[in-house]
Amino acid sequence: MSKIIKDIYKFFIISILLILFILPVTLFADTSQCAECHTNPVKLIRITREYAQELAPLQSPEQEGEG
Amino acid sequence: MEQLAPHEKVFVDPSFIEEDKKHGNLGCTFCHGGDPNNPDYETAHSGVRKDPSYPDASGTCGICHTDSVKHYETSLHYTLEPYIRTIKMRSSRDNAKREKINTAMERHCLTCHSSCGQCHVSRPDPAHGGLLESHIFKKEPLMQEVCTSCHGSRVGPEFLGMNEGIPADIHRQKSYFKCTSCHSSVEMHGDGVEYANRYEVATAPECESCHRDVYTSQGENTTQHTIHKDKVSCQVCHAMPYKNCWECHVGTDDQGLTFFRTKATKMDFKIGLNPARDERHPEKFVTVRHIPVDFNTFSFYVEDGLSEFNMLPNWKMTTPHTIRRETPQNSSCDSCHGNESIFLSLEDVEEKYREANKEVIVPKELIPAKVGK
Ligand code: HEC
Ligand code: HEC
Ligand code: HEC
Ligand code: HEC
Ligand code: HEC
Ligand code: HEC
Ligand code: HEC
Ligand code: HEC
Repeated sequence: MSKIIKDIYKFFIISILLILFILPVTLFADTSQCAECHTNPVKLIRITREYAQELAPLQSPEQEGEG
Repeated sequence: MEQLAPHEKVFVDPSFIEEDKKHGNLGCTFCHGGDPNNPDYETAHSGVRKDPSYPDASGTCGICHTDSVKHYETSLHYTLEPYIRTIKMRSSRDNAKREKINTAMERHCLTCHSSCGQCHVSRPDPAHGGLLESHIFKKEPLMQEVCTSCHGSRVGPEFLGMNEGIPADIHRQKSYFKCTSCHSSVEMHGDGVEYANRYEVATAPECESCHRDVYTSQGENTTQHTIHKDKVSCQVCHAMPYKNCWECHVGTDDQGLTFFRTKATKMDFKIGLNPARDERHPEKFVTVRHIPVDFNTFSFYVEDGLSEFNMLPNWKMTTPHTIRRETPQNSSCDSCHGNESIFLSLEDVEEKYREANKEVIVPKELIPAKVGK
């Protein structure tokens, strides 16, 4: 195979691969930031720590007995 | 049950997005709203619906699950109608007092509802919430993470055998049943009828639907079963002692956080009269349980708010989940016949509640006589 055909071939393959990678990202761009964060435990730990300081406990410690 | 760590409560498994073709690739905003292009979590969440299936699921789940959503709003897990009705009946007729009772109810009782998401996607909020399995939709609500985290004082520990000295329900022990082995989706999803009482629910399970042989010659105890058919409930012979609670009082502390305090709990077994016999519960004798509400449950909010408390009994018909083949009261005929101590008597009931329980208390002359066996 001549070099030029090889190069066109390579370019073709790379373009297809690129499209394959980018397509889902653009298609589902809608969920990107949500998914980005909610599937990342390290980020979630950091944020929930920040957040936890602002949150009061849900129930009073004065609870007694069974509900 | 141990709570999930804060980050675990909101962690979404990538496989939910990639592999759940039914829900995961709808996009988060389809159900939750919010701004998916905003990388700042504080502002991105503005307008987010934490629970897209409550109070209205028709625009989310309902688009595809038309059957499950159809009667959602009549499910007792959605309406909590029996709670509301019984408290209303026991409440003062004074409107100002009623208002205060309603506030207390909103704060302490009515938060315990369930939604599609609270059974299938996350742990219930009253049990500190958090995703069940990183947002994977569970067809069968998990017994301990879902059902018994709400039904965790009476039914749960009884069924699982967590009360000291009382073994697990035979169905748990022998057949590894879970709640959903008997309680179906049709029962949980509602059937369009607005029931006033949990025992009216027509789709609730019945012992006889599985134990078809108890009255036939194939049964191993047919004579005794047949003598007592429609007179004595199955639980009267087959339930072990179960939990009774007294004096649940609710309030809020200095920080405005809610609490409840129950005075006492006691494992006991009592047979009472069935005050509301119906087609599904024709028996004259049933097991009864002392319930935690009393005159002063809402006294923190209003004095004498439950002035009409005695409109209803506080020993209520119950179906304990402590079923065993052999129980102390069925070990012989006369463990039960003539055994006054297991029938709810006047002396078992505090004086101020006797009037309320008059249809439940068993008069001495109705206790079956000894048969000599
Ligand atoms: C088909 C509808 C649906 C889709 C799509 C969906 N969710 Fe959910 N999500 C729910 C339901 C229902 C719950 C349970 C809510 C509850 O019980 O309070 C929930 C709960 C959550 C929770 C826990 C909330 C809490 O405070 O307990 C998080 C976090 C979450 N979803 C994030 C996401 C993310 C991120 C995506 C996108 C990848 C997503 N959801 C897509 C329906 C959906
Ligand atoms: C876009 C359509 C669609 C929406 C919206 C949707 N579902 Fe589903 N869901 C499906 C399909 C399709 C199935 C598979 C049906 C089957 O297997 O019978 C399914 C299955 C399920 C199952 C059974 C899970 C399993 O593994 O079999 C549950 C539980 C469920 N959905 C709950 C919900 C809840 C709760 C909501 C709302 C928060 C919801 N769904 C929203 C389409 C949807
Ligand atoms: C969010 C808390 C919560 C969760 C989760 C929950 N329940 Fe309930 N359940 C309740 C409350 C509260 C009532 C009482 C409603 C009333 O009487 O007003 C109830 C009533 C019932 C009833 C009687 C009424 C009826 O509809 O038949 C059954 C049976 C029941 N639950 C079983 C279950 C099972 C099984 C599960 C798990 C699949 C479950 N519950 C999950 C809170 C919950
Ligand atoms: C109190 C708990 C509870 C609530 C609330 C609840 N479900 Fe279910 N759901 C169940 C149970 C139990 C099953 C049966 C599971 C099994 O058969 O293993 C079920 C089954 C399902 C299934 C599988 C198909 C079927 O009917 O068996 C779907 C889909 C579903 N539920 C969707 C929903 C939707 C949508 C809502 C809200 C309208 C909802 N559920 C509310 C308990 C619940
Ligand atoms: C062997 C079958 C079976 C299993 C397993 C089972 N139940 Fe039940 N349950 C029943 C029957 C039968 C009734 C009575 C229904 C009626 O008469 O209306 C009942 C009634 C109830 C009630 C309403 C009465 C009450 O005592 O409050 C609740 C709540 C309940 N079950 C929850 C649960 C939960 C939660 C689980 C799992 C821990 C569970 N059940 C497991 C058969 C079962
Ligand atoms: C969904 C079906 C189902 C329902 C509903 C059900 N059972 Fe069972 N029950 C079983 C199965 C299965 C076993 C185990 C049978 C075996 O191993 O012989 C069992 C075992 C028993 C046993 C012990 C029998 C033995 O030989 O050891 C008793 C007693 C019993 N059930 C009573 C009840 C009572 C009372 C109810 C109603 C509260 C009830 N069952 C509801 C399916 C059911
Ligand atoms: C008057 C008491 C009494 C009543 C009421 C009663 N049982 Fe029984 N049952 C017994 C006794 C006693 C045994 C045998 C125990 C033993 O083996 O020592 C038994 C055995 C059983 C067995 C195992 C033997 C068999 O025939 O398969 C099942 C299942 C059972 N009962 C189910 C039920 C159901 C369901 C009901 C309600 C419809 C019921 N029982 C009502 C006393 C009773
Ligand atoms: C756990 C309680 C219990 C056990 C065990 C029990 N019974 Fe009964 N029995 C009752 C009750 C309660 C009644 C009253 C029913 C009524 O008044 O309608 C009754 C009624 C009867 C009746 C009268 C039925 C009628 O109304 O005509 C006979 C006969 C009887 N029992 C025989 C027996 C025999 C024999 C045994 C032992 C093999 C036995 N019972 C075991 C509770 C029990």
